[in-house]
Amino acid sequence: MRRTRVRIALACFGALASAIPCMAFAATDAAGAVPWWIWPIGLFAVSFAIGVVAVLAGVGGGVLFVPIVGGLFPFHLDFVRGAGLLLALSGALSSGPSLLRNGLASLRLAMPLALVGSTSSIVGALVGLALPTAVVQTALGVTVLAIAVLVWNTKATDIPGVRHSDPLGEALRLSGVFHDPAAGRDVDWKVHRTPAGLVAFAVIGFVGGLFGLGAGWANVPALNLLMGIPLKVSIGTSGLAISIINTSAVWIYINKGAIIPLLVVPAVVGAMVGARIGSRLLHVTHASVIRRIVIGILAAAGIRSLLQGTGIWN
Amino acid sequence: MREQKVYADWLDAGTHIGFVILLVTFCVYASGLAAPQIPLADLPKYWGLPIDRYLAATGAPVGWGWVAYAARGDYMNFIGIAFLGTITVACYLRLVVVLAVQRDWLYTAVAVIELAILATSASGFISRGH
Repeated sequence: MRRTRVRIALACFGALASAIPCMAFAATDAAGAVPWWIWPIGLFAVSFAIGVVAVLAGVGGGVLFVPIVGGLFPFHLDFVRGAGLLLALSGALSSGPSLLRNGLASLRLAMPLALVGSTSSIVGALVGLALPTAVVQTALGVTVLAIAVLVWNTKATDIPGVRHSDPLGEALRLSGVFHDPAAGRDVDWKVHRTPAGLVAFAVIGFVGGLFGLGAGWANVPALNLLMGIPLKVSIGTSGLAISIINTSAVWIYINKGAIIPLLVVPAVVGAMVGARIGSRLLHVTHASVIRRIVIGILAAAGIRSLLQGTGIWN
Repeated sequence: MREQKVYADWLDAGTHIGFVILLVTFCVYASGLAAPQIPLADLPKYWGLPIDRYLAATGAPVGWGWVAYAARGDYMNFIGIAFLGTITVACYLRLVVVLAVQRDWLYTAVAVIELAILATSASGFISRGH
């Protein structure tokens, strides 16, 4: 059984690894000789693998989807970003109910942060669709490389243990209790540096809207390391905040006409099926190894995006 | 907390309905049961274009213009996509009621402002410009 699961995990990595050079080759074909139906099937396969890897590495699918698909498939970056936002939104919506019911996501914590984030994500989406593609692609490459460095360097703290809340955090009653089954006890939490947290979510929302990325890569460090919220509550609340923030940005892409269903649906369904498989493989895989693989993928996708944006490798 | 439970219930129901709509409409589209506005075989000519040129080449609608084409296979998918985009709005509408009943005016105000932002974004008002 264990061997079977490991084989499944390896197969997923293999699918992603083998799909990438195939797609890179096919992209150079300028979508001429390749039958149209190859693309949605390839997109489903890559999104499935992204769904598995994203869960195992603890990052959102959007941050992998946009640079990989934008760099290796023939779709224009405008449509890839729209699909990326919907992919991240779908994942966040589907995980939200259980996180809320288990107390791993705090609605009161998410609401003010999402309010700031959703406003800035609208601005980000409008800016992203107005800028020249080469500029967005180059900036995406730089951002994805920065995310790889951030993921590499981030050392999360399980329970930061904030002693005194700041005045704004107190006014917003940003505190709570969650039951940690691993530790077998209830954990009280409260926040500090709330104004800095709000500024961080404004920046994260803007970047998310601009590039169509999910924002778990930045939300979790902002909640955990900056605001002092326990890691599990940070991860759960991040997902809930993404579902709110991405909703506002998604509508900009829908209303601008930057949604092609043939791209969106295979990507969303593939990532969701992959995430389900990934969650079952969590206990048989080594998180540190997968984390390194994801950092490698991010670095490669970031460099590819950078080269594409600067016109060195189209 | 009551508002958290209510929000979770609405989110759960909305997400399930949304994904069913998304899958059903995509099956109708991909199987050819409903003719698309842009033939599937022609899409590769357009999906590599930036949004402005794509809209000009295909005559694709912007804003809520897709509703007029919702019987077409491709635009039928927008029913599910738009539904996913309105789940949070519905949850917040319900949340405002729960918070107001609890007389939690601070969070009622936060929820109302969020609703206004989401509604403005969904309305298409700030997306005009093409």
